[in-house]
Amino acid sequence: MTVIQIVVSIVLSLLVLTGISLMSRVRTAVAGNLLSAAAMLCGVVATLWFSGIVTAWTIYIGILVGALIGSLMASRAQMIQMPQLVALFNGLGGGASALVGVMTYMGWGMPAETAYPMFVRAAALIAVSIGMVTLVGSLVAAGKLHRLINQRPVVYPGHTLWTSLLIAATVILIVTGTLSIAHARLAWTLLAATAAFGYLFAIRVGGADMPITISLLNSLSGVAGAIAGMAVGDIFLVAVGGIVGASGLLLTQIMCRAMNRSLMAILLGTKPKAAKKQSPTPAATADKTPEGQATSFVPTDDIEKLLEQLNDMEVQQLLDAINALTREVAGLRSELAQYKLADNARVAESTDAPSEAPAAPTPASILSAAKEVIIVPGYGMALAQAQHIVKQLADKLEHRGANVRFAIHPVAGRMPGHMNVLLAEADIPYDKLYEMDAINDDFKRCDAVVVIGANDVLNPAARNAEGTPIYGMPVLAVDEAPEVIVCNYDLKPGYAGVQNPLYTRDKGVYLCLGDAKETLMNLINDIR
Amino acid sequence: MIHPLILVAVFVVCTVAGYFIIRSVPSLLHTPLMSGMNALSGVTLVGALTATGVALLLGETMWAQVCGGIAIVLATVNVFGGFGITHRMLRMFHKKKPS
Repeated sequence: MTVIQIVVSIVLSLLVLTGISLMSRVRTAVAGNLLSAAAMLCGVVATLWFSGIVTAWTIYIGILVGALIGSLMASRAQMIQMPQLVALFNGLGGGASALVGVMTYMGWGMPAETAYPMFVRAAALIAVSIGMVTLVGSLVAAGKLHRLINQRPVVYPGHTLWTSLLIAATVILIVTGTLSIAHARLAWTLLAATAAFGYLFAIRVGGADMPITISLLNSLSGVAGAIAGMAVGDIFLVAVGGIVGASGLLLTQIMCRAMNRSLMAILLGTKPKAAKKQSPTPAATADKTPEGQATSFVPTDDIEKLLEQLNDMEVQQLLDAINALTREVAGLRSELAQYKLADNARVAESTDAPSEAPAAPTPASILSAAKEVIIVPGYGMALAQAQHIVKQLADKLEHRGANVRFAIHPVAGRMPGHMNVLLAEADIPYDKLYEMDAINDDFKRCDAVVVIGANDVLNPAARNAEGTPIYGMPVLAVDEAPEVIVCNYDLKPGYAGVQNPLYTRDKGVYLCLGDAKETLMNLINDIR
Repeated sequence: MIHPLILVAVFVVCTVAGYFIIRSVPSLLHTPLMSGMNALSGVTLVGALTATGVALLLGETMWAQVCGGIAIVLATVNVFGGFGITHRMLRMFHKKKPS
């Protein structure tokens, strides 16, 4: 490796960093992306040149095939499929790193003698491990997001034991592989072990925790690339891999904080309820929490003792049973609430029929009069594909002189920032989209809030119901608004399984249940 | 070959630099950022190209060619798909600006 090559690598790495910093503003983001891509292209060309492999014709076929598939997928995908697409691409990158690791380890395509054979072998084997975990983990994550695999966390008997065994096996294989000379069988065994680990790790994660998992896998794919780069001895690869690793880690951190979940709890597949069970153990005082919320389950000391005597499997069964019961109770409660509300609705709040009673306020009449409106979209809106109708609603209100803003919770959607992309797809200007911290104080000053397919992210229980799974999670202060119109499919608790006390508030809450597209259309038609 | 310590140092420096630069990206742009990063992680293409190219020129085993070929295809899908989709997303944000 010559000095020129090192200089070129450093310049290209700086270009990539510049490209990323340009991505911090919408105005310059497109240019930033193109700059990164251009730097990458230069990196590839430089590699071809410096390694003296311009004449190796097979590589061009590979590039052509890959470019074709990649471009096709990129141009066909819908915005709601973004999470699984990112996960999939991510996995492919990890897989490529793993293969590079295998090749380097076996000494294929390497100069015969290297000055640091042990370092190369160690780096190669670590690249194989991380790359393979990324590949299989991402494929499982993509499968779950695409609903090819059941979204619920799957836990096999002895899951934790197997996971630990696989980690131990991986470490042993890497160490022996580093110390002895290259052996094909060892490489394949390592591939198999890490693939199994990747599967076990991803299959345990539930659908709603996917934003965190994808961020983490994104980070891992970068690290895999960087370590493969160490094995090959390529500075550019190491640098860019490091940057990607850092970004994934940062996003993982942000997501964890926004969901009030610890990374370990997610990786170990502890569901929100179970996670809570472990946390209060040191402070058993948590038992004093008002248990009016029958939806949550707080163990007493006796149960703790009992749990200690059970093995993992039995604890899991017990938890499942408790969760099932909790869900049933929650279902009954929401049914009850629905009946209660249906009664109220029959009196005044029907959105279907144009109401002839001007005396009682209807959602439409409130919106007609409102000057400051905040719309809170959630993943339910995306599932109903209602973003274009939301745009119509916003346009109509603005046309009537109201100021319409959108409040975006950090975890709305299935990956970091997903909701912003979905709304941008519907031509909603991005300067109307506000982050939670920027808009939370304005809820009490606005005239009306329209909630569309969101639940957990605005559940006031997170602020005041100690002991519930979402307690402590930052939420949108929708409950401070004077008038709240909820356009959700039903009143069932969200993923966290906690009842939303907002729905049963006496005053100023209007529920338009059903498919968001229809309810919003009715709402738009009724606004006069 | 570059000294391993230099490589590790480059990794550490870039990780720290990346961390601080990325912190300034607003959550509005997190999805494009992530898919852009994702595309960048396909940089492993560089490694795949080197290994495969050299293997071909040295006339190594079939396995080397197969492994390398697959690695190149996977990495290129990652790169093209990632940058393509990021571009599409950012354009969606962009076109609203004139309004």
